[in-house]
Amino acid sequence: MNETNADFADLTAGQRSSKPGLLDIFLGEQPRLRRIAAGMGLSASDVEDVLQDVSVKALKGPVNSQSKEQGARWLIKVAVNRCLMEHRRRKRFAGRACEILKRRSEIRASTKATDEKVIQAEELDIVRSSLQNLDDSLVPSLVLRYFCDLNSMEIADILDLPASTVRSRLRDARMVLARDLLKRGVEPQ
Amino acid sequence: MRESCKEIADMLVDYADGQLSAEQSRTVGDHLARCDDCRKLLGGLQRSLDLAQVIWQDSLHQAERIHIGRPARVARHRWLQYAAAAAVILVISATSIIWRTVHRAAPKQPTFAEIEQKITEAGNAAKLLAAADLLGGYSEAETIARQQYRRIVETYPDTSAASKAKLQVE
Repeated sequence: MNETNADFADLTAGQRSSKPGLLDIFLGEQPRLRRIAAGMGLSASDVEDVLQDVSVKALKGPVNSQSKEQGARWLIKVAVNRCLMEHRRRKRFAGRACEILKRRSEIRASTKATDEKVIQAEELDIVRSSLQNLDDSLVPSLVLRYFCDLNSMEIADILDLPASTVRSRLRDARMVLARDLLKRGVEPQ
Repeated sequence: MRESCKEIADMLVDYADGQLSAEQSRTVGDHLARCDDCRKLLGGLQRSLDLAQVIWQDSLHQAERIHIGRPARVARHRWLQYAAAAAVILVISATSIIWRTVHRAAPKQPTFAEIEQKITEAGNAAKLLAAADLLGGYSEAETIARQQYRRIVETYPDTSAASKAKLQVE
């Protein structure tokens, strides 16, 4: 158990009688919450800030008798809202394409991955810019669907939206990314 | 883009995600076989998602790296805290030593007038003490002698006569 988790474990023990489970659920969901925050383009330190805030919310959480799934959805909702607040203050996906590609090649080399696809820095920059400029209403659905593998119903439940609205937002977001790429003359193979 | 292309475009994301019914998939597939623009758009949808995944994955990797690095950062901060505490202790000790050294090196020198004053007081106190001792020898003058001892203690407290008078009062 690392230091952060140890701290949270202490908190859980202290609060166990009044708020059963929600912090335990947070600990279990931490990797997914980190994935969501990272997918929404926050810097690494902002991701940590968001997780800290969500843990505090979990500690003060309103629900005592919810299931693990409900608790997880509530935490994801809190994390998404917190990330959107961060979006309004800062630019997301600040890292440049060449840096991303350099890190990617280092990771690939260390893991000896063989399914390497050729990624052009120019294409990566176009998509990065599209993600940066994507409307806030489209980002959460896109990240939850394509980076966290949740389906439209689950996303609808988390974001308090009708499933049809989620599907419509997913289509809109995907079209923005694809059209930005094609507009800049990229010819997908 | 033709009208039919617009209708197909509305279904293209679901087609790429495998979310369409078999019949809808067939319709889109038939259209794609004839339409370059829609094929390009489909390629753009897939390629842009691949690239977005690379960016998201990189962002996550960065977030995980800072997470793993946190204990080291905390340890460095602890080291700094210890160093700061040690520095404060050092400064206080040094100040204390310097303060004492300065005050020991330059004790307050009494003036000649002060020395003369002390000799006079000591003399007066000694005379009064001798008188009080004399009175104390008589039982009827005992009260006066006690008052005299008290007066010595109160008026000339720093003299040796005051110390002796104090013993008589107690």
